[in-house]
Amino acid sequence: MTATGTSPRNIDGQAISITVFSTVKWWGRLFLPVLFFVTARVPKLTRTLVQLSFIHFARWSIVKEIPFNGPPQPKQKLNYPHMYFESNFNGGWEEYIDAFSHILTSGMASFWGSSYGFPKALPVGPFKEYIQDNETAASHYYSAYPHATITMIKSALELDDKLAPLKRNAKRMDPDAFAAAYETLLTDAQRCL
Amino acid sequence: MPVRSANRSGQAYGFLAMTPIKPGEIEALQQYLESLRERGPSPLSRVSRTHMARWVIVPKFHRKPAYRQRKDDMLEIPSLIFSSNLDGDLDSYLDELCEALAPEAPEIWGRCIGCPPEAKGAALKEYLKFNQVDCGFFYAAYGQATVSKVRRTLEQRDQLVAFAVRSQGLSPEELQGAFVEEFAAS
Repeated sequence: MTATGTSPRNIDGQAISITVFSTVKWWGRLFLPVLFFVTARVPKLTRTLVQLSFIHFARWSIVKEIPFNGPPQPKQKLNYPHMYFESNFNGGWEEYIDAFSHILTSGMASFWGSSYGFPKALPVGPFKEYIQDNETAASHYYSAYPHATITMIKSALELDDKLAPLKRNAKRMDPDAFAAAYETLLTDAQRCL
Repeated sequence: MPVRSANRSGQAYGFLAMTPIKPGEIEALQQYLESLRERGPSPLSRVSRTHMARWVIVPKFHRKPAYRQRKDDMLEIPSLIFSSNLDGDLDSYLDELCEALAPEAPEIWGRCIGCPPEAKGAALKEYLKFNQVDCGFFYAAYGQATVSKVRRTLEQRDQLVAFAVRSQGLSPEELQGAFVEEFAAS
């Protein structure tokens, strides 16, 4: 699948960026840090994110204050915290939001439930509209390996682990034993190729 | 026991700096950033530990009447976001970034309030760190793999596919010799 459904400025090869700010209700200031802390430490909670297998990197941050860099920047006290969300994924924008809504329904409610205007993850129509309203397109987006999908990268890394012993031992093996080990490798690593 | 940083996932680090744009500079900054692609490879390709990165201009925080948000919360000055998903430690990465992007930095962060006049080196690094926003939660799908490892293994995968096709029908001796030459020569 190729990158589709968003501004060309959000795309580099197969990689797509999404950048979303949402305004957080007062209780999110207390709830979100706890949610982030627990999510980072309980692998079970991110299992679905891993299984989705099209997200390279994602992050959530809370902006509570704007650092003061001196005039002419006014000193600004924010009335609310603001949540920054970014994702780097491959595929299509529509499919990405669909998957988030349908598969990570409860996770979405946890992460965005304290944001003003969050319409629930399902039905997906209002949720897509909410994301579009709060999304800001990148002015420049870069990927170091733009043509690689997550599946390709994970397969390549897995293959590297499988290939390493044969690379290490190939020189000193008996030719017949090498040929047998090579065949076993190809069979074993078939889904990585 | 070391404190786990929320900015880290495996060896990968999530960096984000949010800097206020000087009044009157937003359009020029936007045009410059959008034109980087037309000028050739992204300048970020010169910072070899960058997996994925972006510049985003945030003109305001969104608000709609339907959100039932009591108070407005305008961003009084539009901000420039620079976000990078990088390898290893932040300090040495920013050293590399601030040197590698010396030609472009005056056109980018030089348009932001508080940026040091020369927009490079240690002064720019301190500026970016001063404006850093920490991650609450950072996820990396292959956080143990560096950019160079990802690139090397992708190349190796293609190489093995080509080798498997090419080496069909070789005797065990020939197969071993070809494999050693291609994958285990060093």
